[in-house]
Amino acid sequence: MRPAQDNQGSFLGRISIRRNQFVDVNNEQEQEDLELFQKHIADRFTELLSPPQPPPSDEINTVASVAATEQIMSVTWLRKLMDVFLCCEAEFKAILLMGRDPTQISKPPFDRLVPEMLDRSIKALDICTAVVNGIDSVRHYQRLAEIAVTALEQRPLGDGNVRRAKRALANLVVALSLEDKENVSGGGGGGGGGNKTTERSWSFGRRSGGSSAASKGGATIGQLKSSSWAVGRNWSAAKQIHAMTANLTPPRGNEAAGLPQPMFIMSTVMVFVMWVLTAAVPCQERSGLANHLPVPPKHLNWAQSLIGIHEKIGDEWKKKEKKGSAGLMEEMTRMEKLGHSLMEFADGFHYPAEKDAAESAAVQVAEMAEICRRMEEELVPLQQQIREVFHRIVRSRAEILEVLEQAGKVSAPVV
Amino acid sequence: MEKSGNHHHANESSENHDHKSEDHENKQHSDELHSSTPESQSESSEHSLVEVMEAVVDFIQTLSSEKDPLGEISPAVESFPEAVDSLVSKMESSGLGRDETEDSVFIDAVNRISKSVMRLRELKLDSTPVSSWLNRASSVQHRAVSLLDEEFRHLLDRSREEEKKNNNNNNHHDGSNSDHNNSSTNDSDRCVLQDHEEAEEESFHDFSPESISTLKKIAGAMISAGYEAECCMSYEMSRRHAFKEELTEVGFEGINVEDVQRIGWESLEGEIASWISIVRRCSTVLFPGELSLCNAVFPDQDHSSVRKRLFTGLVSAVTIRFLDFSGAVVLTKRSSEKLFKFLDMYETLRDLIPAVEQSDSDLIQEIKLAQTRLGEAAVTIFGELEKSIKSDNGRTPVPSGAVHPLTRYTMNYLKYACEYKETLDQVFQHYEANQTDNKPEPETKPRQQQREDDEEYKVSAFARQMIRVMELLDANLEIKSRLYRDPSLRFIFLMNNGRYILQKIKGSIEIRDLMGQSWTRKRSTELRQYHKSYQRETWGKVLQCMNQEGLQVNGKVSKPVLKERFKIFNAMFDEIHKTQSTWIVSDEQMQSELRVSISSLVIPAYRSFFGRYKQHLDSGKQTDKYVKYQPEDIESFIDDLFDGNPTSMARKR
Repeated sequence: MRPAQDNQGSFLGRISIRRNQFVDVNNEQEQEDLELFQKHIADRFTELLSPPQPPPSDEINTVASVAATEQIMSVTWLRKLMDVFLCCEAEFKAILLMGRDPTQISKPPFDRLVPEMLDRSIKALDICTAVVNGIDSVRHYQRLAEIAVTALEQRPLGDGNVRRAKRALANLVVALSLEDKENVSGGGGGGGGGNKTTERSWSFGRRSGGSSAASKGGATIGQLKSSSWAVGRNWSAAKQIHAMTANLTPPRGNEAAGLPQPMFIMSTVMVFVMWVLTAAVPCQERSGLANHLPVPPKHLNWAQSLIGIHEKIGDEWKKKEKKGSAGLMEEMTRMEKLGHSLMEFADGFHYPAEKDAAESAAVQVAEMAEICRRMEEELVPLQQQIREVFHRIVRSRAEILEVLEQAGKVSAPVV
Repeated sequence: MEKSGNHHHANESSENHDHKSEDHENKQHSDELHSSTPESQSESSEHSLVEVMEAVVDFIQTLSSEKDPLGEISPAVESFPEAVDSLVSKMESSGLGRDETEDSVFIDAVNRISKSVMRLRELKLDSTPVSSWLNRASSVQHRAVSLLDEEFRHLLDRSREEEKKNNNNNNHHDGSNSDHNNSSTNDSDRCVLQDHEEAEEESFHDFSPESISTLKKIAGAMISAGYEAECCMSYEMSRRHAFKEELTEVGFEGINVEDVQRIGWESLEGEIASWISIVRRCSTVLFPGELSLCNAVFPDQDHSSVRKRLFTGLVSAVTIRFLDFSGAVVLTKRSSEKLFKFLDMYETLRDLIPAVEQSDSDLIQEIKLAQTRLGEAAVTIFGELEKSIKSDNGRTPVPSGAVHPLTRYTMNYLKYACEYKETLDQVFQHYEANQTDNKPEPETKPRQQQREDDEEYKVSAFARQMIRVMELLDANLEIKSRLYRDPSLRFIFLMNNGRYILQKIKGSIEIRDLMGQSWTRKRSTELRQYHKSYQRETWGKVLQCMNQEGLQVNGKVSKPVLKERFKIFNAMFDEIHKTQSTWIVSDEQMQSELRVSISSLVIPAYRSFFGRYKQHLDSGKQTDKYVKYQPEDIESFIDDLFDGNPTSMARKR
């Protein structure tokens, strides 16, 4: 998963412009930059909240598909979100570091704010890893869906094909509706007690029954569970996000006008993006995250759209949380719905296929195939982007530390 | 009854091992049975299976050859799905991998039903009898392939469980990882070893040849039935799980970035050690083993993309775990003690690359990036050494002119660092290349030239660093030496430190080679220079007072002058003895060299002075007052010098 280089170009230009701007840094200039930064944040999230609508003249089908592609939490949208994050991050770093006197960010209140921010970024790294693992699970769901598609596309559709699809769908539907605790990365480490039990009962069921429910429903789930990776024993995405929001308060008084402001904004963006990612895909332990992200005060202009997106996702999450969900990624949600309805079709199937039922199933199969295709195209790039985010955070952290060291505030080397 | 029928069949076929002649064999078999009337149901099903199998071959052939095949199923083939179905039932209770012949018959039946199903689908015949037959056949096919899928997983997992059991029994993992590494590097394709005994002994990724052969057959049948996705999924899951267990067992459990920052260096060192051991095992044993397992289970030429994909997926999933860890470690606070662990990790990743390159994994760049990070950290830490040398500017001289702690620290550090000199060289080269990436370097050419001209001049990037550190150390010691008021002590200090440095360099082939002979020679010359300067500084005046010049007044030895000379000598020698016996020359050889050279300088001079002029004072009672030392005394007092003991003159006398 090589970090995609494509995104680099766009903001490199911006940074170099900035460098020039900071040659003679003065208060007025800085103020202007801070305002520009806030404006950019606002613009980027506004675009994420309401993607450009296709012209109304388009045919219904196209509209539906475009809307679905751009929709909040779709895999395309998540990739856009990653781009937005990378842009914000680059711009923020330019504000924080370029042309700045190193001692400035080592004085109060920065001696507190900067370490807090660095700590947050470390926490974000583990979330990135957990999410990359989560996407691995989604790719597994994709493959199950693909099997169902392949089977149901066969003509003439026979009992064997339907049974094959049913087997894959059963696994898919179970996996998609499982809560974290039962889901992939649940037990953590090498498998807690719960993990083992599932695995064992599965292996007994398989050998004895052959066609029993245990063998059908539990098989790949048990296997997926035991073969997936955890971010660490007892690691919890929920705790991690909570910890990231600790100390995250809007700057007041004098500070609100200066550098603490973009630091607060960037941290908020980072926490928010991480929160969205954990909501989108299966993620290790995230109970309570649905309604637990402190949002910035509503009066802040830059935060409007971000709050809007937060509310949309939060509502969806709360709905889903009741019945359990592996993730809110739009494609997964649709996949789950299609999975259920195709299961119904499969359950009621008698050879030869009834024409109407077969036709409506064919439409759903085509939609499922389309989702699979999109996942096939976009999941790996999304993973790469998240790893790029990971690397970016690491690099920025190193750069900030370097500057701090120049300022002589980092403790002397151990010799 | 069914069983006995089976056995009969099994025995017959097992005499005839060639699987490829199976069709032919079955034909013979059916010819034999043709004449006899089926007596029991099981026999009849056996009979009909063989008959039907034969008919199916013809059927498939007909389907393939005829341009416009009939819209009906021949009566001979009609019951084929049912025949296979009962075979599936039988297999469900017995399982695969027990009897090779039974397996082959079953797989053969599955392959034929798959072939007929596929062919019929392609033909798209619009006839009710054909469609109905196709539906039954595809049902049976699904049932059969599902069974295969489960058997496939079971076989993969069972081997893993047995392997685990064996490991526990043999205590393979009780800390002797490195030993094990060495012993097993060569049998990376153990899983296909024919030698069963050896396979049991070294049971890591072990699958018996029988298991491999069954797995291979199942995989082939599943893929040709169009169930490639299921087959790959089962394989991938099982192998991933196996890897996860392997990692857990060596104690590498995916510690996260935050924990890595939190735990102390000692615990982290432990984590790094298990990381290194498992990554090395992957480079040498596990990844190559995985590749050969993949090749063994999916040997078909048409399956090369399947093989590649499965192997790549597995390697990527595991490797990314390793990279996460190294990324987390690099983020920890840099400090000098970490240098060597970082370099170990750097080397481990470097050695991982060839194994990962066997796959199509796109992680090579990320591995290199992780290496770069580790390298940068190493450069920074090494830079800290330079910084700490520069910033070590205490105002108090080390008492007695002894070796300065900075010298010891620096040299010991460099000695360890030189054990990694190839790696450090790579790291610095890489780093310098990155630094100068944007600017062209016109320097390179002449430097190259220089190397060719002077073979002792090593231009390796690390050597340049070493020389820089040495220069910094020298400069610092020079400043420190000025803290001594006594110039003699200053030279002793420089000698001590210079000697220490030289000994360290001579003591390590790595540094010696790195620094080059001319450098060492230069250091030796400097040392001799200090030695001479010391002698001049301390003993010049002493020798001066024994000079014959000025002793004679009007051709006669002047007693007062002589007395004065002896007094001066005594006083000077006393003083030198008093102070310089508190000085330290820790290197024994240098200490004795110094004493010898002082003795050879002072004693003959004194002896001759003493022998020549003592008589002039003999008459007087003041002899003792002026002639304090016998020449022998001088020698023993010189032996007191540089011992670090304030030896009392009185005690000596």
